[in-house]
Amino acid sequence: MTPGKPAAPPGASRDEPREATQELSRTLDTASSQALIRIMEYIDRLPSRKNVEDAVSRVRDRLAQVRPPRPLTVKRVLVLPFEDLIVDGGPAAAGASWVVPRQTLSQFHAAILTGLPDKVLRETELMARDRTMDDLAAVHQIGRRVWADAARILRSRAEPTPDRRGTGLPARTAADADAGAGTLSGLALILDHAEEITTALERLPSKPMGMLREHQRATAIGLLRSALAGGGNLFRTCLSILVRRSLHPSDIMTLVVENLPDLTADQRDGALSEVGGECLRDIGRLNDHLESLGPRSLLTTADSVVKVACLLESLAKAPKNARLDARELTTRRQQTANLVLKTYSDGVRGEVRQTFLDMTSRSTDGSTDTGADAETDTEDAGGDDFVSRAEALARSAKRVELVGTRLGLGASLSAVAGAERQLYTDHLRERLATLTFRGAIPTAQVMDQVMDELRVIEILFDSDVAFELMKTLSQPTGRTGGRAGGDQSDYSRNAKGRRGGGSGGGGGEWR
Amino acid sequence: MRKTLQHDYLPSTFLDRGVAIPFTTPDLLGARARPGPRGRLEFVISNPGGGRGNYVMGWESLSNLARVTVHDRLLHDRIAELPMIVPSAIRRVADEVAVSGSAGRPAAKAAEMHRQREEADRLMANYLMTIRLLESGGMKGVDWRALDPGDRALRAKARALIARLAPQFALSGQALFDVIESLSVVIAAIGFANQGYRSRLPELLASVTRLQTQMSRFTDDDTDARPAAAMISDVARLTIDIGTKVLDACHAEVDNPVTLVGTWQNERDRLLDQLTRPDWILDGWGLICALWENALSADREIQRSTIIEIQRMVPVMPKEASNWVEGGYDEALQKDWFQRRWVKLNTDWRTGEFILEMTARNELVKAL
Repeated sequence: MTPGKPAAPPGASRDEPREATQELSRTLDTASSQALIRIMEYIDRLPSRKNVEDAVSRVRDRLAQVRPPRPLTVKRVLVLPFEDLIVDGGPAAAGASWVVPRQTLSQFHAAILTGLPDKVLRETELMARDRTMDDLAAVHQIGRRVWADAARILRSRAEPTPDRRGTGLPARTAADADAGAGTLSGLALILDHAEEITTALERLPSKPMGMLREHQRATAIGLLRSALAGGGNLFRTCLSILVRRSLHPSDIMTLVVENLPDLTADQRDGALSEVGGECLRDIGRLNDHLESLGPRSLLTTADSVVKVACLLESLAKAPKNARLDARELTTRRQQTANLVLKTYSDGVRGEVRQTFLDMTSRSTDGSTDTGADAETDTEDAGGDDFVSRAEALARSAKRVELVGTRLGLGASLSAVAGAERQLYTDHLRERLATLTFRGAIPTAQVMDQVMDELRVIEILFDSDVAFELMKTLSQPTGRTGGRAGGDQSDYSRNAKGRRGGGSGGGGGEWR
Repeated sequence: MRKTLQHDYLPSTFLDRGVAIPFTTPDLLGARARPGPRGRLEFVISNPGGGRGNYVMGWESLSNLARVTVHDRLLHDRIAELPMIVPSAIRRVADEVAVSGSAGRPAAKAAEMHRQREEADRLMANYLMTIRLLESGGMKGVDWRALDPGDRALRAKARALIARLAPQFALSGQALFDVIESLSVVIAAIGFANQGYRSRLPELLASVTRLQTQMSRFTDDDTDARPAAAMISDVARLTIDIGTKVLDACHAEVDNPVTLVGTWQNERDRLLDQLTRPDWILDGWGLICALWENALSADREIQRSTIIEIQRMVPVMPKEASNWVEGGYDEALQKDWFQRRWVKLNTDWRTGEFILEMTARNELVKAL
């Protein structure tokens, strides 16, 4: 037993923390959006996120989509102006002086928080209490108190010292120390312009940023022009922020080509080439990362895969000035295409199919009418979560399919989808034939579940497929005694009073 | 500087404007239905290409605009069977279709709650009418708030008391009860003045007022959301002004139960026309307020996009409204509002991913 550490409870395994982290990873991977928000709320209340950081980092792309409210903290405000420049990994992951390795953030915070006057810290912490980062007025109020001081502190730390140990960052070698000092100077520069940068970013779409509207383009151009006036480094940094925020980096590059006449051709092409190269490296890194992760829920994977495919799709349209390495682009494209196809196939044949089958087998008891709706509120809420997750999975699969089609994978994806569609529809038909055998009338609860299943089919394949299936199911089967000429409208008519408070429930009629 | 919007749409009558249909297919959101030639249904929708003007088209053409959701196909089929295209009927079939679960479980539950709320409002209107009649007949001091409209014994007792009042209207007890039943269906949504609960339409009017106030936050916004917010605010202001007057007139009409029963017997068509006016005036604003409510918790950029989306959906007031408030709004009603879909240049607004997201959002809005 380690001296000073509390003994493990009797029966506890030494692997428990690791198992707990793995369990958390699994939970985060498969959580619905609402559940993810709830879990992140809990994690944000923990005194330290150290033990859960790995699990959280696996769902970072999804968190960017779901955007759970983040509690307002001074640390978050400090990072806000450059949070788009943060990359996973240590100093070696950076690749450019303005890219900030996530591992260095703890030193960054420590350096600044110890350097800030106590009074400022106390007051800003008070301002932040019980607020979230969505409270922009409070964010700026705190920012105005800390950004300038933080820049000053970083600048003083970045000054060269004889033993090169004043950076507060890991400095195993002189080169590392130089890189660390460069990062600190770069961050100081950003913090000097933090107000301007954050204000501009607030006027842009949230991450991941789609294509820009007219006023958003004006905002981006304004930021870049202003940064250019602040010097080459600030311009590169702001350009990198915009490119890294966007799912369409080529748009930002085109914006530079078309709207910044003050840039010399060399400056412009140099900057574009740098960010273009950075994008390609990011794509490679993301691809490698996704391939190395092993099995994850489609809910989590889809966001990352869609992101990488969008980036690649956009880079293919990059202006010539970016001088992208065509060979690397082709390699990345092939790598991404394989990833998309694998994610889609594995997802629909595995997790989505299993969830669909689970949906259809959830209620074997009480599948025909006994005159009472057995569903309790708790069961209903559990069912809602289950259905919501199934729909979210189907949407994720569809998103991957759509982005894959744009990458030219239409035929391969259609082949997978076609086979699955047949399986899903056959399964539903067979199930209903069993349920209505010898004139049995399925319960309202089962009818609700059939509609849930049809919705998954609609999302995953097509509304035409679901509608055709619904029409087939609405036809009189000869077994149910349904009236002749029944049409799809019967479904909604028969559904009256089946949901919600249970009024009229249990008396559903299937045609 | 306030950007001037060009105006180009001015329906003459409410029927011409059509009734808002709560479709979930993103391209069909904001479509309005109205009776067309030879009894066929036609839809009015802002130019899908993003240009000026509105298109009037049949279902075949409308459903070719986009891949229509199962929910919308079911909804269309039900609407096509309706004998009359009026807001109350559309709301009823929309709830029926949503209850089937075709727009998801949350929307189904919300639709069921709407139906329960409408039924509760009808019962409440029935009780208030009954009690007011009883009070007019000398039975004072009834605190309706203590009564349970679902109490059958109480209803039987009230029925017996009402039967005693029937002769003064030259009606049988059953006939008077039927009149109250019919009136309560119409009054449920508008309620009574000075009542202790809020019925649906005054509540919706309050939501429109909140929306109008919140649009003022965007008057300094230096984006294309600013003129859109100004346009929404102007139309909402006009709707609130006219809506309040029309609602006040309805409340005055239903205030005296004895006169009301008489009017029902002698001028039923005029009374029905008057009492359904608030529903026409506020038609379409429920969906708009829900869209805005959904965007309130999102960031400002999403709010801007929602404003631009709402801008093409706001139900502009037809000239006919002038007849309902005895003039005073001629200039405002002459304005023909410029409503267009703001298609993002070079953007992915029609890609499958965007449509997938928007469909999910529209289903979520139905659950609000």
